[in-house]
Amino acid sequence: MEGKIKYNILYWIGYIFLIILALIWITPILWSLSTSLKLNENTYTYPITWIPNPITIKNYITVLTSGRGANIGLAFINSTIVSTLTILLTIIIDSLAAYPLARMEFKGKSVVFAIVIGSLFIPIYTVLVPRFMMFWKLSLLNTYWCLVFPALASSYGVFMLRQFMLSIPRELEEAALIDGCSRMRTFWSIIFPLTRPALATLSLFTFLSSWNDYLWPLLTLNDPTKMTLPVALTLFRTAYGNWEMGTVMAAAFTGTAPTLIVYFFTQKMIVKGMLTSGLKG
Amino acid sequence: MRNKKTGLRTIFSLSDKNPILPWLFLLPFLFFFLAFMVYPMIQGLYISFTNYTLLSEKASFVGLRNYQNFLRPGDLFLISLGNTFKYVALALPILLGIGLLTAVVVNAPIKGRMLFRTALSAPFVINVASVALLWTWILDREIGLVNYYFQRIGLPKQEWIYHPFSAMMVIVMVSLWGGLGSIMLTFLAGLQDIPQEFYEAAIIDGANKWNLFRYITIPLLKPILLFVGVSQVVAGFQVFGQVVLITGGGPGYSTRVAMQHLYEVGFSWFRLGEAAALSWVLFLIIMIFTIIQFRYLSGRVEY
Repeated sequence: MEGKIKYNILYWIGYIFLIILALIWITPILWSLSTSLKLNENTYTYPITWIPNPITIKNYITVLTSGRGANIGLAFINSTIVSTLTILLTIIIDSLAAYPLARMEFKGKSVVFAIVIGSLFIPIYTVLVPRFMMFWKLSLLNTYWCLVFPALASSYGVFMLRQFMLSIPRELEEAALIDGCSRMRTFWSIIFPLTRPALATLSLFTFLSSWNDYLWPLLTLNDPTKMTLPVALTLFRTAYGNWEMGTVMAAAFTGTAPTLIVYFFTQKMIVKGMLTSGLKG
Repeated sequence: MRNKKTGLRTIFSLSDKNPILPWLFLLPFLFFFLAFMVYPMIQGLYISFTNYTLLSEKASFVGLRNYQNFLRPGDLFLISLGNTFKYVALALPILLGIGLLTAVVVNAPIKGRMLFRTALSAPFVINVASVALLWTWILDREIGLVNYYFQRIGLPKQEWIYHPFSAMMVIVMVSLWGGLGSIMLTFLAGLQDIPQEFYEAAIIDGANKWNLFRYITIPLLKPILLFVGVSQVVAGFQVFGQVVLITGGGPGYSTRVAMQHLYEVGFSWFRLGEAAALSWVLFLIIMIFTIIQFRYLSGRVEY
């Protein structure tokens, strides 16, 4: 009985802690969203109001059409193109590479796999300077390719897809191989479709890292027409004053809306993805 | 013995008899991996021994001079490195502690746990530029929301990013705000991976909640703890966006971090040789940390 009361008290303390924490966590998002829907002159008045009066989408129209500071609409398109290219190429290249590592026996396999795992722990800055010089010499700075190519060198997807392919029953493809299908056929028509759940997770993580990347685009893009959103947003901010926070917050939300929306619909997948990336197996 | 013609045909065929078939599958990935990962690493090591700058084409070998420069007392690099250590020392226990705590709580059968999960993890998908815009607005000294409520309840206006200590705490808290999602979800995935039978057996043996956590959850979560710990140290040494966009390294040099220093040496001053040497010094420090963490934490890990 006493233990039960003690447990109940602990439960409620934990619950209240969680409610407060969750409120703190969403406050910056809600407050900025509220700011973005206010007229600029209503953003710095006392006392503060949480519900904008009037509610306006004027700021969003300014962000997407004015081009003052940086062209956010164009940056949105650039980010979309870069993310899409990166996702498509990552899926093809990484699943091709994962297949022999999961399913074939060959000399040098363990060496390749060890290098793949090892490179997961290499921080970006070790290759920052030489990569920059490479793209500079290749005259590929300020192009989509200088963002896409380095992403394809990441071994995260290869590792993750290989782990997933190991869990696919061998019998499925052995039947096809006995029937005389080539390895390539077997891969495309049996393994690739079965890897779909892992490919979806990989696409999601590739999307997030590609869309949100800041440092590398900052180094390689100085042409405003080629900028992706995070870089464009910081440039945008410099052209606006503290009395125009409604417009600035509208820009911040335009930059983050796609990731937030995707996140709300794919939460379960993200938890699963964390599991596969959590060094399982 | 096969003749040359069929040999070539085997090599380009996609049949199972082809000895290089696995390498054909690996080829596209290996191309990008060698070109944009392996080659730059080696190239970077070479550059670090030269006085290469973007401005002059001629670079000459300078031996260890780039590396020696970092050891000058009062060098900005040492200040930045010290701040990075300070940041990691502050952020790591807070991130791991709150991450584990929230994961355990939202894993329990409580009302509205999906709602809590969503609220706590949503910020991790927001890009750092937007994060910086949100937080500089919230923490604005004059018209920010936090100082507004501080005054409403009778507290003085805080300096936030204009005071050395609170500026560092702001960076740590923003990292916690943005990073909690990925840490919590990783722990959560690990918790859900622990077989329920372990707990049931222990409860029959009369174990209480704390014992369950201490003797079942923690030991079985060890590989995940190690993984999150290592990746957070690696991430902590790379902290860049939050700092550059929120405090700019200030006030003074009080929040200037190693990555910011590397960025300025390499890409504001174009001293690429020195920047390459910097990145290798950082890399070695991280390696040492990772090895120590594996040594001390992986003792009795069962995969």
